[in-house]
Amino acid sequence: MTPLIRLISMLLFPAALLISSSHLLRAESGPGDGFTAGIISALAFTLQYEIFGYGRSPMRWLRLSFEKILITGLGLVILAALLPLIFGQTVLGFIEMEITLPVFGIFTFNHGLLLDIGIALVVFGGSLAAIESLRKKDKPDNQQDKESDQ
Amino acid sequence: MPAQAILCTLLTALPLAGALGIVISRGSRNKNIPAIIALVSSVLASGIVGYLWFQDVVSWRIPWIESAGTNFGWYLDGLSKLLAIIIAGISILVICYSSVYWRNGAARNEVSGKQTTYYTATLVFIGSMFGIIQSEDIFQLYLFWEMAEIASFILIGLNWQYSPARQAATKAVIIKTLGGLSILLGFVLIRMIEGTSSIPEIIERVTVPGISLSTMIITLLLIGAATVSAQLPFYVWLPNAYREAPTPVSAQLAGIMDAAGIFLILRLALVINESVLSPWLLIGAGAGSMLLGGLLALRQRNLKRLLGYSTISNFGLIFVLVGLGPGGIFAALWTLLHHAFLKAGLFLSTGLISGTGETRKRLAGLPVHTVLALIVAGILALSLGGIPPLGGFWMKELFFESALAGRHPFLLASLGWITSVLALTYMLYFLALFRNRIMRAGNSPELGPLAAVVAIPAVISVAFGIQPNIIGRELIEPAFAAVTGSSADIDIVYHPGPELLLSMFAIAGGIVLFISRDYWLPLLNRLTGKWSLSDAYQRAANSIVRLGQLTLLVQNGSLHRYLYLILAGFLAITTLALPQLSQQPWFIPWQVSPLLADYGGITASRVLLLLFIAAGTVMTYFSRTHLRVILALGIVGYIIGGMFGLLAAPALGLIQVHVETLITVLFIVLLVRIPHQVRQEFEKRSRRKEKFRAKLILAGVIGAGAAFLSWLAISHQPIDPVAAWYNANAHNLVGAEDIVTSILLHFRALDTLGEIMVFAVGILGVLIILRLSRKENR
Repeated sequence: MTPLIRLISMLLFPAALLISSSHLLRAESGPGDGFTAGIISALAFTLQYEIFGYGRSPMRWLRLSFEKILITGLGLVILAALLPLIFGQTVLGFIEMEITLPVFGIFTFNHGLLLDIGIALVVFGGSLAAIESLRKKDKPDNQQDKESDQ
Repeated sequence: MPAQAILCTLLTALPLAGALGIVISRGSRNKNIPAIIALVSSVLASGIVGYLWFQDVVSWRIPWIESAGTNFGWYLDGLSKLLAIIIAGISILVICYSSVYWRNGAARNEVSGKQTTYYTATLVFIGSMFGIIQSEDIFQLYLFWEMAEIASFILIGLNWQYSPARQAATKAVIIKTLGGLSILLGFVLIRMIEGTSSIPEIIERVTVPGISLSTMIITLLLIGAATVSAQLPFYVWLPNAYREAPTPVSAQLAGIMDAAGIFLILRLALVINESVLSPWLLIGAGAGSMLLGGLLALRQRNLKRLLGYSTISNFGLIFVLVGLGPGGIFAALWTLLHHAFLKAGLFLSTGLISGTGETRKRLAGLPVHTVLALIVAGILALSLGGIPPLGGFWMKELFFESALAGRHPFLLASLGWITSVLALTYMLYFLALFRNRIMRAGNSPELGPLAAVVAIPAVISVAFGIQPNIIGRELIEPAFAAVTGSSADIDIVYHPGPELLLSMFAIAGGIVLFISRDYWLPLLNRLTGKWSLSDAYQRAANSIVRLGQLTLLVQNGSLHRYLYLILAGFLAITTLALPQLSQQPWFIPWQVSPLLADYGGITASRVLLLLFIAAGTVMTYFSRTHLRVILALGIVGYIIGGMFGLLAAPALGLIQVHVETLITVLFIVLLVRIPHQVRQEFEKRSRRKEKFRAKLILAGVIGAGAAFLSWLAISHQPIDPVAAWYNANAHNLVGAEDIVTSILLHFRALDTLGEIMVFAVGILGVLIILRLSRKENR
């Protein structure tokens, strides 16, 4: 991997995470929702893993358990589905809350946000868990070679 | 919220909060925290029960599901208070017992490391039971009913690594849930007929003489109650469940859970007696259970199974009493209260024979612990057998009184007499078994406290026996008044009469049967061994499982077959739909889509992209290596994503591009895992082109079919495109500007829920398989 590619991928990592969180928060104002948020952050991590190898990628030094993230996301999704029941709505009904924060002004919370975050966690955790468990473990901590073409 | 209502809320909320607390404190250093939290919660709850006992009736509610007219609230009358005493008392007993019991060596092996689960489930169970007895609304009651059932499922199957425990728990939960469904149906019918789902209102309406809930509703509710209280023919889950469950769990179930069924019936007791059929259903089911339970108890060798069948028989007695009308309800309530503590105590006493240590002190030639255990177990067993002056004697007496005063006195009295004889017999047998086991058991430091805990129900039973009248007046009267709306003037004293005669004869008969048991036991075994309800249930369950195995025809593990089935199915559907379609008036197969004009028509860039897609697809055919195929598919995916972007579907394009990247990466990572030789072997095989033509033709046909179908779908727009509605309403209804997201998250949220669960479950399945295969390779 040339230094140029390494530089670009290092720059892309935080940018991708930023974009994915923006998709989460602005889910209903434009293209992109929880699903794309999860995928983009998963891809960010995967890029780091491909370029720098597993040992130096955030997949390892962040020490996240991706399966737990997956299960947390699933739990959040189910919670989002059942939460409206407490408020007297049907399952997956609509709840809207307005909160006034001192600096930011009025925030309108939609129960869709909870569902979105859950979906993002499921996709993120699931994809990275799959990739992490599939990787070859007997290679030393340098870059992965892609197969050369014939 | 008035103060009483707050207390009622606490009564349910405290145990549930305790359960949450146990879950949160998981992994903490102190192993005793679950027990402590459980103890504190139950003591606090009991305190509240004690305070509420002296209050008036509490009736409070808030609207919950407005659209259905369902409320959430608390209704605490005399009946609820009686049940609350039972729940509180037994829960304290059981929790004290458990906290000592798990430290014992043998018991520790039984449930090692599961204490968190046990205490959490117990607290949830207790909280839900409190919720059941004070629910103001029938649907709220159902909610708590199901919660209690789930908690009991976890408790019965606590030793889930043993197959019998799993089977017992599954059997129990299936039968009880079916009963729960029956109850729900009954509740829905009540709501429809009476127009309200609030319990106090329902009771008011039906106490007007002449109006009664229809027989069908009552039958449904009876079925539900019978499944939970294990009456004929739904009792099959109880014996095994009681045996496989850990000892404290059996005590809880016997004391508390089975009482829920009786509670349901008593709540509607007045109503039941208005109808003609229902008392007979009650009496029939109860009588059958009394006899069957008693008979089957005689041939058991396992202490807990014996107690299980005895519970079936005792609850049958209570059912019969309730069926006898107001006359029998007093007796039923008295029996319920006494039996709960008695049975719980008996179950707890079976845990006394699990000691493994050395014995040192001796009393009257026997170790101290043996003497203690024999005394407490003896009191409890003899009480259940009906020996005066213990409480169980009054159980039989009251039954005889009510039976002789009601309809068909001769029949019911003889029934009661037979059951009493059987009860004494099997209780004596229980004592004999108990004595054998405890002689062989060792000592351990926990036995002292355990025996002390078991002594409490024994003392209670003695108290019930010595002063039955005080108990009747103080404790049972309020409940009786709540159920029947009148006061009972019953004096429970010794008086000469037919009842006393019957009891004495029953005692004599029981002793005789016990002594002569070697003679009739083989006969009994032969009679009852041939056919049993459990076998019928087992056969039904097996046939259902075999039916499920039909799916193996389709799901045989071969990816090829799955693909063939999916694609062939698609082809079949298209072919079958075509004749139907061609008859529609709006069907013009060759028309160009009007949408195309809206989006700019056929431009050069689009045609170019289409050609690239086609080229990529063709490249997959000509690729010789796995890697090339993957890359070719990736190219196709990217270009399609670009097309989406060009065709004003940015969300779709976004998702397509990202998912394509992820999948390509996944494929390549996967590819690296496959050994080089295996890959080359497959690549060589693909060069040989066997069956290639067939696959190519199939793929071509299906592709053409899919293209044709899409063309048809796009060219024939419905009159009212759905997009217009979303455009107009999405923002108002859910505040969203992006329609796609609003559909995903709000309008069609259920689909999204399903999809995300499929994704998660798929990934989890893959991870599990990978982990298992890695373990095998080691």
